[in-house]
Amino acid sequence: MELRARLGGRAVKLSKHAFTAIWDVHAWVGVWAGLVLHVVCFTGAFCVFRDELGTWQDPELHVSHGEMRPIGQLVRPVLDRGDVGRARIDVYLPDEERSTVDVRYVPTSGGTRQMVHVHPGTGRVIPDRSQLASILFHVHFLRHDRWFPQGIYVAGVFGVAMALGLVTGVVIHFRKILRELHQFRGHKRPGIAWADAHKVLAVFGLPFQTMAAFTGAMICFGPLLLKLFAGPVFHGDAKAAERTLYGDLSGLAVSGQRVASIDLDQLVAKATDTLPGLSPTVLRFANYGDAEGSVAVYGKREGSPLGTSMVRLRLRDGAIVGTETPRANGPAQNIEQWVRGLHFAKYGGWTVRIFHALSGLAACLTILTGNWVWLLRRESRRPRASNRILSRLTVAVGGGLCLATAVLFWANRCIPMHVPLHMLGESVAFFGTWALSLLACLFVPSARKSWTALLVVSGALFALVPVLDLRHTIGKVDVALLVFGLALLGAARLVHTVKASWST
Amino acid sequence: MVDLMAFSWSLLAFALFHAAAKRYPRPGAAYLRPMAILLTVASLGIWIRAEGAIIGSILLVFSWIVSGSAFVVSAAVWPRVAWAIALALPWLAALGFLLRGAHAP
Repeated sequence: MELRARLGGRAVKLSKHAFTAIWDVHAWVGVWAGLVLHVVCFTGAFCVFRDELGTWQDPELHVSHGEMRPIGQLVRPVLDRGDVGRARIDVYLPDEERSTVDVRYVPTSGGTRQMVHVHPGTGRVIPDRSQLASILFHVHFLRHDRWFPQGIYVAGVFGVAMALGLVTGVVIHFRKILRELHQFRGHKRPGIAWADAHKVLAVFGLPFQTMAAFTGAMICFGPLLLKLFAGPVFHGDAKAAERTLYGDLSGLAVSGQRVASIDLDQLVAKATDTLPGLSPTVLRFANYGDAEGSVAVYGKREGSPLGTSMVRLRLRDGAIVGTETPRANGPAQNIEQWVRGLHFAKYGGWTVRIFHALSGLAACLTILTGNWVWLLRRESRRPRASNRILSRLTVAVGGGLCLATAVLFWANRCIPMHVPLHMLGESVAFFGTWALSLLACLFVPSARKSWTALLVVSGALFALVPVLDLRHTIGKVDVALLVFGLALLGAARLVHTVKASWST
Repeated sequence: MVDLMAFSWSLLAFALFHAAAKRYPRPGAAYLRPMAILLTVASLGIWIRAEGAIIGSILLVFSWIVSGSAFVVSAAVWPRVAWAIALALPWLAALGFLLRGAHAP
């Protein structure tokens, strides 16, 4: 029960009391925050493919990468619509994952931001008809745009809790950390097998989990910290604080005079001439239609894998009113871009996103096995009702979320797209299935049976999603879902065959 | 295909490290570690050549996270399958590379 850590060249020995206290912190953080962190990590594994899922969720958006019309011709009909609020409009250009031109705006009537998609070849406007990707994204950040926007701060608190769990975990296992890299005794009794799995996955996943916890907390608390620092550091100038961290988002002040914009393609061409090597990905309009309205052309350049460059041009005459490059930006903005790029896997392409997703799922297993080890130890000492409740909650949140996500994918394909309540149907299917799983797990006494049933059903549903897509195109997302489904079925077999004392 | 090749070398490197671990004493273990180091360096070289120094290094860390955790857990439960994949994947990736070219998906 003693720990010797080598700090600054000398051995530091932790007392038994300190070791026990740190162990308790690790265990209680895991128990209280673990299930929510599981939700965050599981949905995060899907969120790294947010753009791909955004295209997959509506078969109308499966457009082959062909010839693209001039940007102005595609975007102007949407920008000039009366219902599009002009203060800020974001236009996402097609790339490897996105095949349509996507326009995001706040309606003039107010409310949350809306999205429409424009076919790059024909210019046909396709409304947003599914929210599969955004449900998973919002659950990842524990927020709802309208009802609970503060949820992002709650997610930040859980990010800090994850970091605390990681630090205490490292302190507990410091001496054995290398030995535990190679030790998994799957054939032993469940207590040992789960403990080994927890340690192996935690030790291997440590770099990823540390990165995810740290960057996640920074992303969540960024806006809050900005408000706190605006007073003492920026003398109350919120805009200056925002510029320091996020760059120039709002453009020039509104003049109130209405003036038409010059050709958008000319503006984009001027931006790429200004910053050679810039490949535009996002156009962010500020005060479109106003005499001082501007467009910021964002994109990446060679040599800055995580940093973004930007050229802001005035819409009425194409005058350059600002540029941002990783070299010229302040350290705060560069760090923010790296934090965001690392967290959302905006580098290295498809391979990096697969690694992120797998590491996120491994983090889920780390959390769930940790909970199980804690429960088995406590239950073997003294059976309690609270242990049984936590055990059933672990199954319901862990396995239930798998099933709810699988049902969400099925709901997306089974509810006809033209039905006006398609989006609502997806939400009801996801949250309804999750709630039903919770209820079912609370009443089924055997955790092993509940795990097996949930994993089998969700595995089968995930694996069969490509069958629903046979009439469309089978793409990377379908293949990934098939593989994930088969992996869940394999996990179900493993859980079923473990000769378990699933006493909780 | 380049990514798969780099990952497969990384996986094989970890498998050799695992086999050379003190926990599993076996003859020839002394030779496994240098081979594993060589494969790791080669894998890092491929990542860096494909993605640059920073992203290449991050990718190597990720490939170790994924290949290491997957191999340790699966080698304990399904040892033959785990070793077959670790040994065959580099050859399959090389074959794919030769047949379809470096830029094939």
